[in-house]
Amino acid sequence: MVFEHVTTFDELWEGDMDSFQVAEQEILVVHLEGGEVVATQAICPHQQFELVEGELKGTSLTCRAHLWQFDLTTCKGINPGHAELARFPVRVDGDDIYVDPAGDVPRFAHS
Amino acid sequence: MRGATTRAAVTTADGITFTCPEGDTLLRAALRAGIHATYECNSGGCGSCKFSLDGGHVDTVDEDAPGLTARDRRKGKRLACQSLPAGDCAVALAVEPGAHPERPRPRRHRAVVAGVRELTHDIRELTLRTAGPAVFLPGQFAMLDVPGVPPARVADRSHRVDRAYSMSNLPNGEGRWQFHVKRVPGGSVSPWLVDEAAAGDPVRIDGPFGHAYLRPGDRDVVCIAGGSGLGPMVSIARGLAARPDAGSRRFDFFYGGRREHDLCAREFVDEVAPNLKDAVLVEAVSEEPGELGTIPRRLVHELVADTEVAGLAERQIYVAGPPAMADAVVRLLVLDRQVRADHVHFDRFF
Repeated sequence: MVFEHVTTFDELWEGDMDSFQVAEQEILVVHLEGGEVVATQAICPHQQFELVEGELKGTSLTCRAHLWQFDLTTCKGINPGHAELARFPVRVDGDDIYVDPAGDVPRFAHS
Repeated sequence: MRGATTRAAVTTADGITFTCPEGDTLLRAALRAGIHATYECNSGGCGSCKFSLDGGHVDTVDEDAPGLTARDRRKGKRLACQSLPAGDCAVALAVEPGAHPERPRPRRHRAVVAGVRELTHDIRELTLRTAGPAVFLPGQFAMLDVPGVPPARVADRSHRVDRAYSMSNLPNGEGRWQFHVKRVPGGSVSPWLVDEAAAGDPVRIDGPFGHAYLRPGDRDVVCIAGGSGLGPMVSIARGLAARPDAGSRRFDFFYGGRREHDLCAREFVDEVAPNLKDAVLVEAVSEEPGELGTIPRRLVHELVADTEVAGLAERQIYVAGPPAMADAVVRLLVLDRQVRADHVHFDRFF
């Protein structure tokens, strides 16, 4: 496992998300309310839309294009339920957030 | 100056290679090759066909296409529907999973106008004829290229301008393609189709395209449309009514216009009703009701919200119409009513 430094808690506040290019992978890093940090794929598994442009409410993320919804605590689809997101390993060290970009692969789903 | 390229070889990040003929966009060439590149509008608006260019050069039809956000542009993303390969290139293009054997590959056809019929003061039913069969799925669209529209200049070549219109009839062996065309004032294609097209005039058809087509299976159907969204819903209703199990299928159609003289869905619902278990039309107008005042004044999504539809959450739902209307309807269905997002079918146009 190779963790890469992605951002800091100074940059990514609770309730914030941002997308990063980590090695060859586009990764969305979300700082959930309550403190958990989740790293997932930056692009919706349905079509070519940036999830960072979607709406984050609590732990649910809604893609802006077709309103697919995901639960970020599990990285599973809320609607449709068969959808799922990649989940990249995250390591937190003090103020720093690291992600392993080889720890998962982006998912694709059919509609 | 670039050489006179007639065909370009395109290689995707997944190692698939296909040929792009001169004048074709990357998206259309991929679809013609049977590659299910992601897309919706084929017109630069939706952003579903974003890709990255890994090698080679492409010319861009519309540099300001609204389908790309500032973030996309910063990341160097492009739209496959707006990219004309100039020589061989390598692309990272998203492809839908699955084989989708039901989807016909788009083809170019020469057609002539075979007939026109007025449906309302600004919607016309246009019938085109091609020599070969009309191959498409109910709910799909085609790109129409009409006489008199000057080609666009893209880099050092000219590029023909076409517009997306949904078929309103069913696929057939006689080469009949019907469309309900609404006049868009100031548009480059629709004024000719609505006001000038006459029997015998030539039109080019490229298609079919689109994913909001009638799905197989035994679910009941709801169609929700406004304005220019009538055509594809009529095709879906006809497709449903033509099925062997039509007699056990329910069809609810919500249709909104601005005023009463915009409403023309009744004849189509009456046409399919005898074959279906039931067919219900619910209409609304967004502006002042006319003298009769029999049609409620509601926006389409309000109309849907007000109406009890049996088993809504279990149905296949098709949506077409102006972007703001379609967006409000889909939000209502998916976010408020918890309808499965993958049971709501629409191609996003802007």
